[in-house]
Amino acid sequence: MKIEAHLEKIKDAISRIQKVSAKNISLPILENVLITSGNNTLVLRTTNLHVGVEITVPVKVIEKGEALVKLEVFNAIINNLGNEEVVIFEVIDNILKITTEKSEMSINLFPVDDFPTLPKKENEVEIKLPLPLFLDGIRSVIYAASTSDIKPEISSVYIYSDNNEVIFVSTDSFRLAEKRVVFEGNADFPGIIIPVKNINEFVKIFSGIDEEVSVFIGKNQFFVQSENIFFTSRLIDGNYPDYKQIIPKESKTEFVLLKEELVQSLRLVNIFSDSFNQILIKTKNKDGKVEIFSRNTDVGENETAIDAAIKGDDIDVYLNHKYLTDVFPVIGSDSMSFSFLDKNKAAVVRSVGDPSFLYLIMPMNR
Amino acid sequence: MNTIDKIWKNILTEIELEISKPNFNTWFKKTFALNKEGGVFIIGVPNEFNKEWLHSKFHEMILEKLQKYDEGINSIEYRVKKQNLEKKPAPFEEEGKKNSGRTLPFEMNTVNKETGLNEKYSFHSFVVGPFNELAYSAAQAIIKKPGVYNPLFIYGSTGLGKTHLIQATGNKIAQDYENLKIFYTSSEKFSQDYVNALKNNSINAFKNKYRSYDLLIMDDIQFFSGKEKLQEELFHLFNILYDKEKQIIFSSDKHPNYIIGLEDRLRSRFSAGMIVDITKPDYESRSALLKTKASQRKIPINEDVVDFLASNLDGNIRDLEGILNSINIQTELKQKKLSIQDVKALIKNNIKPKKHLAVDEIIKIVSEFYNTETEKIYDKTRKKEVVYVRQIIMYILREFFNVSYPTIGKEIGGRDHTTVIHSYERVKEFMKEDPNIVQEIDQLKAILDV
Repeated sequence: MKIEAHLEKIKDAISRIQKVSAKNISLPILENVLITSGNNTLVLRTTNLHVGVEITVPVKVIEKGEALVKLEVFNAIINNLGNEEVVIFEVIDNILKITTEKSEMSINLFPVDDFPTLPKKENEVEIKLPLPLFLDGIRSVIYAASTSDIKPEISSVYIYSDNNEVIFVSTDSFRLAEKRVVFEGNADFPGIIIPVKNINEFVKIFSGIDEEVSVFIGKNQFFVQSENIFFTSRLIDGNYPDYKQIIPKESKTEFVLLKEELVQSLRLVNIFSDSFNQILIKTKNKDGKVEIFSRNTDVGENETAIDAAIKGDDIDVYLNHKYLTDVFPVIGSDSMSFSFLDKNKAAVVRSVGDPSFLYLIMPMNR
Repeated sequence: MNTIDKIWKNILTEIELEISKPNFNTWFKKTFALNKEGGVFIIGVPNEFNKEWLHSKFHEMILEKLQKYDEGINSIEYRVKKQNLEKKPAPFEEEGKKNSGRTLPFEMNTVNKETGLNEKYSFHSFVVGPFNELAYSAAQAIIKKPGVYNPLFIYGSTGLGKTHLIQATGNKIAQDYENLKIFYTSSEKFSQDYVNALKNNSINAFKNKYRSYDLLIMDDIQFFSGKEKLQEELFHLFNILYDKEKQIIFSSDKHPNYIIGLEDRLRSRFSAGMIVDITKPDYESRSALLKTKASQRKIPINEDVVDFLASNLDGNIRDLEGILNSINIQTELKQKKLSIQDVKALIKNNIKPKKHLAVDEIIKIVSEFYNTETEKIYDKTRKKEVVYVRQIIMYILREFFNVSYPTIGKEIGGRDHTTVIHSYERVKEFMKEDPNIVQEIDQLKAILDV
């Protein structure tokens, strides 16, 4: 194999895939990247047997071939070539020679035959989605996914379709985020549960790319094909909790406040919150204020009041402030609305003027 | 351990010696023998990566080894499957303890995405009694040999376990026949699907989807009444599945002959198979039901309480469950088993008083049942259809509601009491001669809840 490539392009590809091949003690071969040159292209493939990815980079091919290199080493080299423009890769026996204007190095190769192939598409449902909307849907909910392995079903992002909307959901059973994204055209597919780790990889791999991708949904596996990237992940075979029935349909207390003011005051609250991240929120309807208390036996206590438009009965409710902080980045508008039915029932948080996003938080027990 | 398991274990032992340990652990450790169909040996693998790799890398080797044990094997299929089928979902509370917070009150969704069947319905929790015996045996016959009664039509009023029976049948068939494509849907879901398909211009996909099933279960089809376009779609779907000898199961709250606004061609097709009803459970069945449900949900309940409930509540299984629920909550609250007095106090609001329907209410229900205008009943009209309905009404009022002859006459357009007596006797005669009338009366009894 002998090819000539633009360093920048190789760098970009490597940066997208480098997190996929983590350290793997039981099967060290997975720490490698397989590079294959075809007609005017170089394909880099990595997998950790949970996800698999292939990135195609345009290069000048002098001689076709393939090579298996340790990704960590390859990444380190590529990242430290500085301002070079063109780099030449050449396989000689079981050595990969990398040549630039200034440097020349050779690294050891591994036997290509032992590197896993990726699952193939069979007869999946195909839908076409604009990547930015897809990524936005995922980012709007992913932080709420459970990180524990006890229940794999909810250590995930659940994606399903409803008419022309695609709905993204995550929950760790203490809070739940739902984002509805409208897609043009037909988006009718069976609901899928993708492990949160895998979908994190997906976000990294495709971040910043603005094109329409084809998504293929199978029974155990799903595939995404963009112009240059092929991605596949295993799906969780299970049922997502029937979350719709817990969304409160009415409320007794509602308030709207400025997001920026809440962000500010939570920074202060943070200093005083206890190990459970617990804060007390009190509404004062007649003063038009929401008061936030936090107390930590080692530090002291804090009370901050924020102006708010309050409707309904006053309520005292304990919340985990971390759950609020998590949701700030996805609140698009300048104000947030909170509604409560009861201090023991889930609170509904929304971005004012944006019905596509819904966030539920379960109050804490005192 | 059956033979295919044994063969596979032996092969795994051989392979373990031949390839490196990490390779074996990654690719073979979690595989298992799934089945053997003809010459095809089916291996269960944990994921698609595994499937792909075994296929491209080890296929020849595995086949060679398999053939040493069984010469009849000529190919291998790899199927992605979880090994432990009976996995209980971990309760949500577990995480809650660590976090000291309260969890959202989720209910685990046990509906299978492909079949639409709810896995919680099984025959383990299904109580068989005289009231549902026939329907149960028909379902069992279908499980033994899908297609034997086609279609199977189960009817009975609400809360008697129709859905439970047909879903359990679907689940059992799914378990026994892995390759059959099974689909459960309610008539409402079906019509929604149809409307969506029309809207999205994907009517062909809709047709192909429903026509691909080997077993189609459709619940509550009385809702199709009066929806002509949907009935037409169902008619074609039915014909195609029927011609291909695919099993179809329907449920409804009425006998097909009494579903108002159902086209005759559908009605006659339903009658081609087997039509069975589920009636209200009798005392023994109620008591068996209560015991089963209580032990399933670990609700402590005394024998005398079961007896009291069984004899005082009638019919509807859903109501029985509701009462068990309140008993459960009360028991938790009081931290002790409830006595019969406690239970009496608890259910006093739950027992429906025996129905006292107003006479005009009954007239309305019966005339609607026969699709006759209510006003005509009061009229002097001598039209045959109206007279018949009028007579049935008189019979019902007398027989089941104990209304006196003169009152009946007065209520129904001021007729003489001798007319009423005559009508009553006429219907009795009819019933002796025509079993259809008996069935109609039974239907009406169920509707009127007597």
